[in-house]
Amino acid sequence: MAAREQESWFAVGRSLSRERSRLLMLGSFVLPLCLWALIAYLPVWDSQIRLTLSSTTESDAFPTVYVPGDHMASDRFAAFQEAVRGDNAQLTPGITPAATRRTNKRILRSLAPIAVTQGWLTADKENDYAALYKLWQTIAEGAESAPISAENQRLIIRNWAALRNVSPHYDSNNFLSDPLAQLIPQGQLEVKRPAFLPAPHEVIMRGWEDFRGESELGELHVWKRYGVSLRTIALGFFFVCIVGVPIALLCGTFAFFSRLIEPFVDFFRYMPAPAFGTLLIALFGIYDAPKVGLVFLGTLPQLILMVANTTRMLDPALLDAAQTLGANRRQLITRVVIPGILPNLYNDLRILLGWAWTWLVIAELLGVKAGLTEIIDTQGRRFHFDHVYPIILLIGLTGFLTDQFLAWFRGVLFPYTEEGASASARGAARVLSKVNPLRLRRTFQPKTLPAST
Amino acid sequence: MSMKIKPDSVLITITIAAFTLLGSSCSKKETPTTSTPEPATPELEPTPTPTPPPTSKGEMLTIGYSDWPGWVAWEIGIKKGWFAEEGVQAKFEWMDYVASMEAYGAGKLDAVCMTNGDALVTGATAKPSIGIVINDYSNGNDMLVAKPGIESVTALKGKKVALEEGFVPHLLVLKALEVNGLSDGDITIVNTPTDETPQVLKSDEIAAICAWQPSSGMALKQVPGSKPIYTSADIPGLIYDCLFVTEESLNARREDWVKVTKVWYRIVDYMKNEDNTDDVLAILSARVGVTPDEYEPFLDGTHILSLDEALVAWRNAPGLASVYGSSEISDAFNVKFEVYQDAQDYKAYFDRTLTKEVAKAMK
Amino acid sequence: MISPELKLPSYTEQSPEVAARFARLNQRDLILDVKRISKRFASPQGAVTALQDVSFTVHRREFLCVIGASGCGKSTLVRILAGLETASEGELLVDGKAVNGPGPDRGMVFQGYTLFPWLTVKENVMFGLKMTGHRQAVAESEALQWIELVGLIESAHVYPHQLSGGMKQRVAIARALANQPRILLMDEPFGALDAQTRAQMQSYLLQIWKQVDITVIFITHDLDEAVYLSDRVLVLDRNPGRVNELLENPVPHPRSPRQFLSPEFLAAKARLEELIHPPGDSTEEDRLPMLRMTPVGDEVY
Repeated sequence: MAAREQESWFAVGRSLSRERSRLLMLGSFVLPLCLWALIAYLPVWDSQIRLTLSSTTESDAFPTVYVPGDHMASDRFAAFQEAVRGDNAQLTPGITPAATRRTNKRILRSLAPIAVTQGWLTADKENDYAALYKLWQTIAEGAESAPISAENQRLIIRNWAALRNVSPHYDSNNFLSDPLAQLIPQGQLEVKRPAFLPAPHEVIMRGWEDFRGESELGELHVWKRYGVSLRTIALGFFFVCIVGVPIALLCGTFAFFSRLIEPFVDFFRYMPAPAFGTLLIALFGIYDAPKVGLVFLGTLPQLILMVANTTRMLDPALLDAAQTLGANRRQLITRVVIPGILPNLYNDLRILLGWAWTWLVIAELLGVKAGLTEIIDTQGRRFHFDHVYPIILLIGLTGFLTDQFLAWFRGVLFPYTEEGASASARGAARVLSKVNPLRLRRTFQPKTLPAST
Repeated sequence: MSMKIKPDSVLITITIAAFTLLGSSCSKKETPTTSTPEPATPELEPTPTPTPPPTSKGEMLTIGYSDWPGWVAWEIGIKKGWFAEEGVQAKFEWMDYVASMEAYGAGKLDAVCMTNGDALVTGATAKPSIGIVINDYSNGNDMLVAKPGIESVTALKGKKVALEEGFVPHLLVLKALEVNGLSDGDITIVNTPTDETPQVLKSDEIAAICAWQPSSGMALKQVPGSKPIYTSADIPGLIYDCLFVTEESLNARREDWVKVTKVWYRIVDYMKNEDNTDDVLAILSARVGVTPDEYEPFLDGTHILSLDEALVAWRNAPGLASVYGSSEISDAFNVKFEVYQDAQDYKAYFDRTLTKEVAKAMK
Repeated sequence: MISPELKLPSYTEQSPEVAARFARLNQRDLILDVKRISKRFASPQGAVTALQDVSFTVHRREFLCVIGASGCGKSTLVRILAGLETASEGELLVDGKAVNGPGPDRGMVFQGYTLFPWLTVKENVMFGLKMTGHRQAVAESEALQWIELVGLIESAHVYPHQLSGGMKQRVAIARALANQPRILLMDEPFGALDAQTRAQMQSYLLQIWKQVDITVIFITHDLDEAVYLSDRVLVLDRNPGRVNELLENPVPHPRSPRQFLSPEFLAAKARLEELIHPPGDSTEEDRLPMLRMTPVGDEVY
């Protein structure tokens, strides 16, 4: 208990106590998180205006459409507002009355985002002109106005007067075809981090929405995609195992196959598997098969070399012993080599499963994009990294937890190894043994030995 | 103490688990799925479809389409179930543009949506094809976007422009240089995938990028003050966007392709009706993953050809008003700039009879 | 090691009982006949002769120890006997029949622990029986007998990693004996054990040998062990390994640790010592250069 009995934290070649190990494992995750939070929340990032209400302008300075949620530097935002005011000063009707009506509808809709955040309108009503019409009336009559600027309030009143003159209720056949005034863009000043550095809280919130299927990912349903990705990994890994493990066993057991196969495999593993992408598409089409194929191709050389080496590491004395006990060549393989390497083979496969994961994202880009990669790719392309990071974290977490589980499960499967000594593994093994229908308890009665000569 | 799992039983368990997975995936592959598994939202669904005419036997037609507005429009036919109504089994595969052409070149698609110029490139380098539907011509969506301070194409002289070499943006830039009295040697082209151009425009070395929507719009937003200095609206008809089919598929299943053409003109009719604009925007923007408001200008930059306009474009005439004339110009450009070696027989890349057949049936 | 002043009988003097025992032994069937065995290895420095013209015979139920300085080819010899290596020249007859390759008629216990870690004690002992085609039930009851013989019936369902070194070697002996081999080859089986355990194992081995119809060929470098266990001791020279002497052990049976200081024991041991480290063999190379590392005047010796 006394402090001096404690080992140093930095004793060379000593392992740490259980408590310390746990603490450091926690730290290994907390420290990067802290670093991320530190960088994200440091007051070094400029503030920008986040649009809450947007318009379009004819000005050449703003050649693209800005929507609520977009960011702008303050001076540019001021120029944007000025450009819209300029447009309003000389309202021009559209080329046709229909085009003007269309523009007017868009102006009606421009209030929707702000109304949704205020709870005046539900999100599914953003394109419901009857509801929007009503909203305009409500605001124009002064019932709701808190987040709307006085300038816009005046514009709303002016527009509403024009609208009401045509029809007090929304009527698609009787809709104003004189140009309405655009609402002046509104926004809030907030910290604008680079797109690739969303703050932790933003990622958590976005991830929560995405995983619950509540965000605008639309057809990119996370869990469905996750299932697809898991299947690609599982299939690729399964095929690589049924093809690779027997080859590796042969290489590890017989010098003949080792010399015949391993040099080429060693050469092949340096060739970048993604370079075979087009070939895989030509061979396997554009759906799941080329993706599984890439995971297979990327993992196979590693597996063969690793498992062959593991097989070679089997204590040759065990083979000697088995031979003196009468084992023939076939029995040596089935009764000694295979069971002998199984715990290490399991470990190798666990590591190789990690390898397989590293190929996933490249694989899923082949042909028709699929799985989680489609989310990463399309969202990343639109700079929506707050959608991308939760997916990356999901992949990382899946790999990490799978690995932790498999490492623990090794003790359950192989109770004769050192890991088999852990209490939880022993407990699980006991439970498994209870449900093992093949288990036979045999009683025995020692016979008396033949009399000595 | 007595617990023990035989190594054999471990292997068996693993094998069974894997085969279960394998089985589930195989069974999934066998059931034909449409490219968009989610059913259309109820309000988009038309009145219950009458009994569809007998569907032609044979496999699904697989068609690659990508995020060009004129092609995303196929989504309307997919969501509304019009292919089934016309009695054709068509499976649209949502892909990146270049990936879709690669898959077509690898022989894994029956048809792919391409520009007339890219069809020539794909035909010269991988697999020829026959255009049967003219969806649109680009009318502003293809943009040469320059950094703030660069106001004209001539100001690009000696600077670096990022674009995807050998494809539409390349053609547009070469045309822009020609119109402004420059040659291809006056700028340095940096080969960049189109969907990465918005990021690339942010880098200091690049003066301009050339891309189509939504990448071009994204680039405008990424670099405040950047401007389109030359767009396809300056030279309408340079880029026709079409549906290109393999020769084998067209010969074997011409009837089905006529039905696909028919669906296209149902889509065009639906889009031309102003009342449907909100619905159209909702469908198209959802496919691409932007808001309907952001999507609206994309449609303005794409001139969807009505059936009558298409019949005009199908006339064999020199100049950009004809898809043949436009292709002739593209072919000359491609040979001149060594995109490929030998001039293509561009007339063999088109078959206008399907559109004419549909036109006849509709009148 | 043994003080030269000590007056010892000659190692060739045998008490009447011992002489009678050797007479009986020599009457017994010849189990192993080793005829002019040589073994050469290729090495980067050229061919190395590990064994040259090694010939000897072993009778049924004899206990033969093989000793020699390290590198004399003891292990090579036993591996050839087991069939794990082939002789470059010469012939090996077991029960009058030539053998090549390993077989269940020659069981072996290795210096390292060669129990199969994935099998329990019982399954390890059953291994050879199953390899030689015994049915599960037969193999199991046979195995349990042998486990009981080595006194480990309580641990029959335990995995090897839970056993001590001595217990592991007892299981290894039981496993080798379960096949009922003609010859039990033991390659320094107790070399890795601590002194107490080794003494205990030696005693166990003698007990087992008496209970079982088995001929033992036991490799060791420990002279006490060789004299304590053996009927005869085969002494190998090194470079190249060849038979120097086949010594008939004058120590009477039954053996006990008390005999370690008996004149016969010491005489036999002295002879072996002489053969392995011939007088005058010690050269200058064995001496360390003497450098004084303590202050002058700090004399302890």
